[in-house]
Amino acid sequence: MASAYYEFYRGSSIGMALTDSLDELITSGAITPQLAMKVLQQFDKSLADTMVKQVKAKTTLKGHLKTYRLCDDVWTFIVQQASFKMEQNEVILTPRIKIIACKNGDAIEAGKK
Amino acid sequence: MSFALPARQVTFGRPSAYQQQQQHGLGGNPYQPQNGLALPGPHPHPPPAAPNAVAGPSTPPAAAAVPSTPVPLTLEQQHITAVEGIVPTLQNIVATVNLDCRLDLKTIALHARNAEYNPKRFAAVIMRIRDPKTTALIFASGKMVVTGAKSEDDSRLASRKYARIVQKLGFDAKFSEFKIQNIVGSCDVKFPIRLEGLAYSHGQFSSYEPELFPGLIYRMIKPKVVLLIFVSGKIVLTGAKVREEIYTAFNTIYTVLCEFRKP
Amino acid sequence: MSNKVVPSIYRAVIDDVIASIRPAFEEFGVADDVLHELQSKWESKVIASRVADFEPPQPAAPHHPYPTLPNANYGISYVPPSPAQSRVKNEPPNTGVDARYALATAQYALPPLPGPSFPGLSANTLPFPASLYRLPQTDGPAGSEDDDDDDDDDLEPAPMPRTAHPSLPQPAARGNPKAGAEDADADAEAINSDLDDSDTENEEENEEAQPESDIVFCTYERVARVKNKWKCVLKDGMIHTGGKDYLFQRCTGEFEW
Repeated sequence: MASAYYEFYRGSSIGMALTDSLDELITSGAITPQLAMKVLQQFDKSLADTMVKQVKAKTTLKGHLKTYRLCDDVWTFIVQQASFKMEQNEVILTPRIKIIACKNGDAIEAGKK
Repeated sequence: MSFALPARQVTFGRPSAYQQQQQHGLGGNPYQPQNGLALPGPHPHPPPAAPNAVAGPSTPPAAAAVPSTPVPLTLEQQHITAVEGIVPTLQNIVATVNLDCRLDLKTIALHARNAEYNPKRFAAVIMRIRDPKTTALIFASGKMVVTGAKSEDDSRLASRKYARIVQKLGFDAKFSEFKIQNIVGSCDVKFPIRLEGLAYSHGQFSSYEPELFPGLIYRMIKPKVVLLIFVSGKIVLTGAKVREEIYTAFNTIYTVLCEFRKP
Repeated sequence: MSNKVVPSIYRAVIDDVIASIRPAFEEFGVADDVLHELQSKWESKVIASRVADFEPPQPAAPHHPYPTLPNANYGISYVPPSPAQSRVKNEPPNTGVDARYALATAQYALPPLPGPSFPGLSANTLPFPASLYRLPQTDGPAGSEDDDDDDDDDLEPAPMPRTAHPSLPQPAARGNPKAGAEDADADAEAINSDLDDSDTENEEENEEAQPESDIVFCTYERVARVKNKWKCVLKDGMIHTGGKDYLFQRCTGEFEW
């Protein structure tokens, strides 16, 4: 079980698909926003738990760090000429990718001041 | 009168270490650029022709530039003619600026690029720009510290850029009270040094505890510059407010180091 | 490869959410049909996004690519749309709803549209011309544009701009009207010359204004910098790049700034 649940994964493909579906159901009056919120909270939990249990892939990412930002314990990186090296030597290239990283429960506080 | 001159005289005239010590330690006069750098030589005010006479092979450009009548050189010009052609390289300049405006650091961190803000650890936004490659610490009071520049001009330019970035985010930032607080230089005399001997004879200025730190820390009084001196001959100079102090401090120490050159 | 696991992971997430949320639906007095409909919509949108190669849906399953002709379930829930809508509209938009969500809700609630979701149904029951349903398409594949929703891949699969999420940095809204308007004393404190502008700044601003197409959602375990070399350890990531999703448990990043 993950120790913390994040809302920001709602911005992922599967999260957006859910959010859009809930929007439609609210619009049509089938559900209330309150119920939709409960669904989203359940999504946060189910996604985190499923990822922890079932995703095993390790990868490396190299690239040029165009910009970075740390605010509210969220790191944002814009990486250019990014290359993800997946398992089995699969490489995925992209000219520009944004990384949004919330603080992991086990995050090590960097020693810098 | 020239400061390079006495330094060079020392270089070639090899005054005793004791004299050096006197110079550094007992110079009680307030720092005055025009005479505070003069070493106690047999001729406190050597004849003006001396610079040319002693300039030697290491300083042909400066020698050529010195007219027969003593038109004063800038300190930098003088010290660029320094010993053996070695001129310390400026490695870091620390400056402060007052933007004279309260700042909401979170707004800055959210909207400026290359910013870090973690108030639990440090109460300033840390921001970097690539050109001039520098780092700024920006405080909510509007005070800012800019580090990393390699020259005074770059330090000022970088500081203005940070001020401009803050201004563009909607704050009424000014560019006031720019001040260089510290200049760090380094150089390499390219010969090994007997640090123990130096520490012993310049004990008043030196602290050398190789088990704690491999370098000798030399706190020069005039100019007020701290030097880290390593066995290898590499020197770090810090604490200067103007670059001339770095040059002067190096010239001054160079003559000392020559005496403690490892055979 | 990590894209291959995406269908099974997403399947598991959907199943877990639907199974776990059922009691809440009962508690709210919402019919099970609606839960099925949610599942079906969600699955269809995920499939239509083509972020991975999903198996074709089982013919009998309710998650047939949406939207199809209105089926019985939809009919039961949605024949009386108007009262339900007014109920939604009367909800204070902020009661326990996060900003992003409230925004979307308000957006839908403004015009009394039946929602683009059910063009077939609404065209029969509401007096709007069919063309209207195509206009405010901001939230998903326009169902009426294609016979087969699986062809909607040329549409942005996640049309809600991702930057609308509060965790995403927003572009600066404030300018400084005073910049350049200072009196002409051109003193050392004036900082509005070209000299003071970072030369790449405008270009970068434009970059950040774009919606993010390639994006990673993850957590960080460690971020460290030495000079301009950055190293980070990222966990539990969802990569979206080139229209595809990839998942990682751990990603070691090395960047040069």
